[in-house]
Amino acid sequence: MSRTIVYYSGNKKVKLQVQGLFEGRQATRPKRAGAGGDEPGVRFGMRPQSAGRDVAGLLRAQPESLTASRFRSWSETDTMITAVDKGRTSVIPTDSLVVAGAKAAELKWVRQQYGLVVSREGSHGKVLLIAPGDAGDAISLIADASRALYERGNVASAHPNFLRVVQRPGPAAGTVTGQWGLDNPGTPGIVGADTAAIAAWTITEGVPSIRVAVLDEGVDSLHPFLQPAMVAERDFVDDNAHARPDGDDAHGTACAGIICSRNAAARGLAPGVSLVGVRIAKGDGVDGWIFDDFNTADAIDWSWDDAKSDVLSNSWGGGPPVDVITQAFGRARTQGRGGKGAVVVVAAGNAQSQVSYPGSLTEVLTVGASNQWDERKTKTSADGENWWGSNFGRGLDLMAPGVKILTTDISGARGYAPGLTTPTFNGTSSATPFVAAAAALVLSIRPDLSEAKTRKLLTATCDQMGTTTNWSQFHGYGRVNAFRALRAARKLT
Amino acid sequence: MPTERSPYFYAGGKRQSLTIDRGLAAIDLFTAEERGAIDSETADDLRVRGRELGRGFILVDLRRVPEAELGFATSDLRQQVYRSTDDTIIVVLPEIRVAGTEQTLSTIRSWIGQNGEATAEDGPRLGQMTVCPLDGQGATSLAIANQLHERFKPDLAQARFIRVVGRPPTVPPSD
Repeated sequence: MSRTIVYYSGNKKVKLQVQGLFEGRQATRPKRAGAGGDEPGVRFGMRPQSAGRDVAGLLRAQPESLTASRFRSWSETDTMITAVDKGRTSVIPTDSLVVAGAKAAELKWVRQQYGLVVSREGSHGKVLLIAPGDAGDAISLIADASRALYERGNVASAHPNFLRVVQRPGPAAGTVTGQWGLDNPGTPGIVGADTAAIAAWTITEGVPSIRVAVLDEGVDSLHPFLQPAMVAERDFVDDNAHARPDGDDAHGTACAGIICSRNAAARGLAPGVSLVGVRIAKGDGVDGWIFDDFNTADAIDWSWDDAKSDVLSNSWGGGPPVDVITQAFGRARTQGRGGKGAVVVVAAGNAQSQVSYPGSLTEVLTVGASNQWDERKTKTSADGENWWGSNFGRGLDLMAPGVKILTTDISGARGYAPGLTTPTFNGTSSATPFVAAAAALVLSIRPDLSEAKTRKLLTATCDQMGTTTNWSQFHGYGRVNAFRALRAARKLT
Repeated sequence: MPTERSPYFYAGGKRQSLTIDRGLAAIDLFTAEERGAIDSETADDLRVRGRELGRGFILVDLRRVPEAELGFATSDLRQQVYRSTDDTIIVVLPEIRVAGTEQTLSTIRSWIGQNGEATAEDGPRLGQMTVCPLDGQGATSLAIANQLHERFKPDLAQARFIRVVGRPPTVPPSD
């Protein structure tokens, strides 16, 4: 079944060919929400498909407050969905009408002529009118009423209130299925509690001239998802020219994937940037990590000075502060990038206690972990991982996803999981490379920005977490939002 | 050898306390093997029972490896093991990195020469100097670094630390 509805937009008539979505016998009219109804308008057992998506399923997933009024008469009106924009957008007429600039007399007229009543008053003179419950064909009624209202010449606009299902913008290649840190579908958790990667990629995926150094227990530079991004590597533990890890040391490879993995199924936040692998630690075969502070300091200096890294990602920490490392970070921040400064990003730590060194330094970006519910990761947060919690307090700057992160893994049985990826990488270790990647995206479009401006930009564009609107010891300035950071970067003078 | 009774070091101009962990020892197995003080089989056995720290050292838990088995490890093959206030294991190596103005480094070089406890050479970076105690003891490098701070206030006077920190809990404990 198909028909045409006509309405006015921009003082011109718009014709919309709409097609009946549901076939077969119409179901009994659903009860209204709040009166014992269930899933108003979408309970027919048929699966409407539009542009390759399960639209009814999508609508079913919406809050009841959204669907209740708009679809209460769905079953009686051959509810229509039509695809426009080459199938990327589905437009769904509802039983309501939006009028702007209408005086009381016009609202009275439309009620008398068509039975439409005010459902809600919006801002700036907008009013939502809704068809009467006993309207036989509410969609047609709304279309007729909106045309008549507009043609009387007493309103600024009047048109059916459409619900539109728009395909989210995304990269041409690949998806981010299972990567909630990039695109959180809310299963589980809260929709959109992520780094806003999909939107960010509409601006940039990063450029190869921006280099991110991962200082860790090694990076598998032969990993097929990372190898294309590798531009420099060095081992400061065993003094090798490569940064590949020993044994089951998989941590650095997982961190690197979060930044710039170029595989569609395990994508980094900045897949277009270049990777510098720097080995500064090794596992002790038990539960510890061994660092030589002089080697670590030399590795930091090598990263910004010799390898010309723009961003240094440090998912490590613990133990007392030492000047030799602090001063190396200071040189990176002040002398890196030809004097503009390299951005230093450091993990807060996972002991659910005070931020550990070197995250406790004041002029680095220190990152805590959030979960799928946009909570600070604690031993009692909704994710159920009760063996760790994100550090907090002085020095904490911002948060990023850090629970069950899908990323690259060293291959073989020694990795976190079989195969080339792991679905469960955890900790402020995984949150830190998200922020490093966000910094790399910003520098990809604004390589002129100083380290201090980049750092400030990333914290100023965070999404709020918790109830505090400014800095808090538990959330810093909030969760990193790469898209907001990029938009702000474009405007920054 | 000037062993500290209450060991400390400087970071950011402030004293940081250390405590000695007498249950642990760091053994320079590489040098011991080179000298023929220990055969390779015994060395390999110790590597399995200890934790390799790098630079030829292993960390030995003295409750698991009796002193009798470490008779080969003369004082110059052993390093004191410390704990920082957050319980991190620290092994101090006999090497100090010093940085400062040209004048400060010159003054320190003279003092080191007169003191006779250590050697000094330039590097590894421009404006830096490396000082090594002659007795090969990390405890001595800790003491010399503290003296340099207190006498000359250089930009940097840092004894070389190997630290053992907890690995991030990135997978469930059961894994």
